[in-house]
Amino acid sequence: MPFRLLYFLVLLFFSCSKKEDFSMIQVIGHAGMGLKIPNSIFHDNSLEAIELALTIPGSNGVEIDVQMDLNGRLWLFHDELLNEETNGINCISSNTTEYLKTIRYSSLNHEKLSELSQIPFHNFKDKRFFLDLKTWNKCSENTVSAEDFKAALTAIDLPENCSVILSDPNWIPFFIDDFTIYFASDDFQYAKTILLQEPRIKGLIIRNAVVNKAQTQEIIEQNKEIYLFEIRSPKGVKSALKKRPSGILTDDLRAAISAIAN
Amino acid sequence: MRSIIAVFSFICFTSFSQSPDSRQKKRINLFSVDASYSYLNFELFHGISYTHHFPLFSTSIGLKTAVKTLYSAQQFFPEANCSFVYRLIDRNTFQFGPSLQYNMRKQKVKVWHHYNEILLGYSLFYGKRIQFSHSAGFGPFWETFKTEKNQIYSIRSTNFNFKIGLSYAF
Repeated sequence: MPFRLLYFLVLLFFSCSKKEDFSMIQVIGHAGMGLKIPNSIFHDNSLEAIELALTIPGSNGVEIDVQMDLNGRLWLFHDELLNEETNGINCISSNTTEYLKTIRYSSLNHEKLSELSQIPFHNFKDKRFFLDLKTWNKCSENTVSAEDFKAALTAIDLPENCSVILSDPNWIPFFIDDFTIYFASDDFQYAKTILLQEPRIKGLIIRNAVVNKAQTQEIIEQNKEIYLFEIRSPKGVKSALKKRPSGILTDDLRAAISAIAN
Repeated sequence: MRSIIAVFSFICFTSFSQSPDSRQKKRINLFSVDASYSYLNFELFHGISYTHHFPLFSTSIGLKTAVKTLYSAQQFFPEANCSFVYRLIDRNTFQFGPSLQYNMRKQKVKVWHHYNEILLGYSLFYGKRIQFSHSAGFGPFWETFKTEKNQIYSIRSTNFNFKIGLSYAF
């Protein structure tokens, strides 16, 4: 009798875990293999991190941060200032191409600062690239010229699997005719207004913590895509997947792929 | 997965203890329960190891699993390791010397990822019957996995490892 009871309890224990299918959700590496956390072997936005993130089976693409230098060349870098993460000083926008070519990250592997044009897009035709354009120059306390930025992007001849993320609504008119645009915001209601104002915007990029499942589904029902970011732990990955977004920009790519595959 | 966690936790927190033979203090065998911190994946490993002290050097082998991955992601992420320590300082209750460590890990991230590292560092042991052990190492690291195109992809990087443990004389 006790054995039967034990058997029943064990059966009950294992039958309670329900497996959900998250295979339709895209897994995008945030700044390569993750941003500002030691999950990555390589520094965020470095060529090495991007290539690894695109090569790992189960990854659907990468999100990268793009900034423009004084000579109109585009660089992959997240922060406003070079001082903290590299051996350089000041902002990308206030430095020349020649100077930025000498910059290395202060990480274990001392990766070089990379240009957008160095990404081997042709090797990853089945992956997606989200280019987060950084519009603010902290050193001059001014916005970068949207026209110059667009000219620099157009000069690279980006493939069709590249999309642009904009957080400044004033930049949307400059890019909407030539690029696939996603709007990034921390304010869900404000983002919804922007999506209504410009129906050609493909979707929304928003912090995982500021939206719930109902809001996520509301965007999807409007035939828009929604990607959640700031997902830094296996717990965060699970919470984001349960909202059933179009995709997640994760800082823990391995945990996200595992959660979907298992 | 829950049963693996339960069994593993039981093994990890089980202690092994017997008095060391004082006449053979340099030839005692130790079972240890230890935890290590790996910089690379911001991951903590815990597990058990067996150390054998020879007159001039010590060797150990061990099995561990990643704490964060195991408990948060409910995924088994095992590590097997072995190390060699040359005891430069060998006092009654304190031993210290350079060490060479090899760690091998395996993790399933859709496909199996293999991680290998060889670390050069130091180790120290303090105590008699119950020993406190600590080691740290730095060295090359390799990750290998099969890509979607069925090609072997390998990357090399550097890693460091910091380990503390409690050992019981056997």
